[in-house]
Amino acid sequence: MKALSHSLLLTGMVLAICCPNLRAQQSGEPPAFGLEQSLGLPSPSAAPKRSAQPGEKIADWQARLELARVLSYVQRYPEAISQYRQVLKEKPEHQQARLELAKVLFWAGRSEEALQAFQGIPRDELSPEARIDLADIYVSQKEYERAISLYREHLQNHPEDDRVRFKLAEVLSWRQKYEEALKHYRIILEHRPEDIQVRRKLSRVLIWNGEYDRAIEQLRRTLPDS
Amino acid sequence: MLILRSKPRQYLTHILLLFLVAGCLPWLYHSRHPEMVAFRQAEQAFARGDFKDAAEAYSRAITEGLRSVEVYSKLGDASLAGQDFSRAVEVFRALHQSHPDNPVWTLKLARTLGVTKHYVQALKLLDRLLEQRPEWRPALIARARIRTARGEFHKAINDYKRALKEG
Repeated sequence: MKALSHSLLLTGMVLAICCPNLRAQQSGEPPAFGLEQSLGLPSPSAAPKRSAQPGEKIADWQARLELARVLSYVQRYPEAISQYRQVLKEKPEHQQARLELAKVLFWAGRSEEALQAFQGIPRDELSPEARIDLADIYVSQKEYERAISLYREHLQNHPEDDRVRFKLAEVLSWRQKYEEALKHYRIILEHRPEDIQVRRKLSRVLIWNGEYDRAIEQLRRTLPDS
Repeated sequence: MLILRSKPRQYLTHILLLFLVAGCLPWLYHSRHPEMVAFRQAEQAFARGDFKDAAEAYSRAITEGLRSVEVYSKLGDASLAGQDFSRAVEVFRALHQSHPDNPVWTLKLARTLGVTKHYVQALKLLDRLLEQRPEWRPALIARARIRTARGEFHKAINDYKRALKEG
């Protein structure tokens, strides 16, 4: 009997805890007691109010980075460079900003500064596209072997990238590596036999390599009356 | 039970009842607060990055009766993040219409319209918003982004500079 009365008391206590919540639920009010927390469930009155803040904060550096990009689109390079530098002052670890700064410096004709900016980025963090940009800067600096190495590396992973293969073929031809340059031009022409400009480049390398008959044949194929 | 003395029998009964009550509580909570259970699931899904699941659960919480502006807003945010743009537009439009003086919903609706490439409508909302609050930075940046997407770079630059107080 005593045990039963104790048990009833216990059950009553539990119901007393539950009841305000049940009543509140029925009346459409949020539950008044923190049963949710004791059960690991959310408090309805507190949690949903978090999103009522007036618009999330956009950091200065984020807005500045976007501004720098737009300035570069309209070729206002000095202003874009200044904005990128301010972003990097605040966020020196922002590799994407550094990369974009390097590209803009290159577009602005400031290749040496671009190279310096690129060199501040760990090689592993450079995307395939960024590596090609870096290779292009090496070309502008006449550091052809470094550029060739980056282009080759890219083509190992992206053999279908004719744009980079064309760049590699050109640089190889400037380094008088004619056989390899010809090989790459021919691969491109297999993919796009109608490309007159590539065929003319091939012809020019054939001439430099002393293969005049082949050059004539290729050049004829690029002329409308042939 | 009968072979036990009265004290141990009493304790055993207490323990059994305690287990019974403890076992019933979650069931009781689930049956009495389905909206909170759904809300909790939505919050967890959102935190995990499962935005579609989160949107479904927020929607369920609303259907079950948790109809607050904040939950609707979260439904809009989850729908937007889960790329259910039509629902996001619908939710933010409803919030904007029910609270036309609240700039937050106008901004959210404009941003969502921008994401769905309804640039003209989005710009109209942002222009109106900026007439009332000319230097409100989130609105300036939102308009700059939309202008960038439309290729109106010089106007976008002006907005960004105003937002950064460099204009």
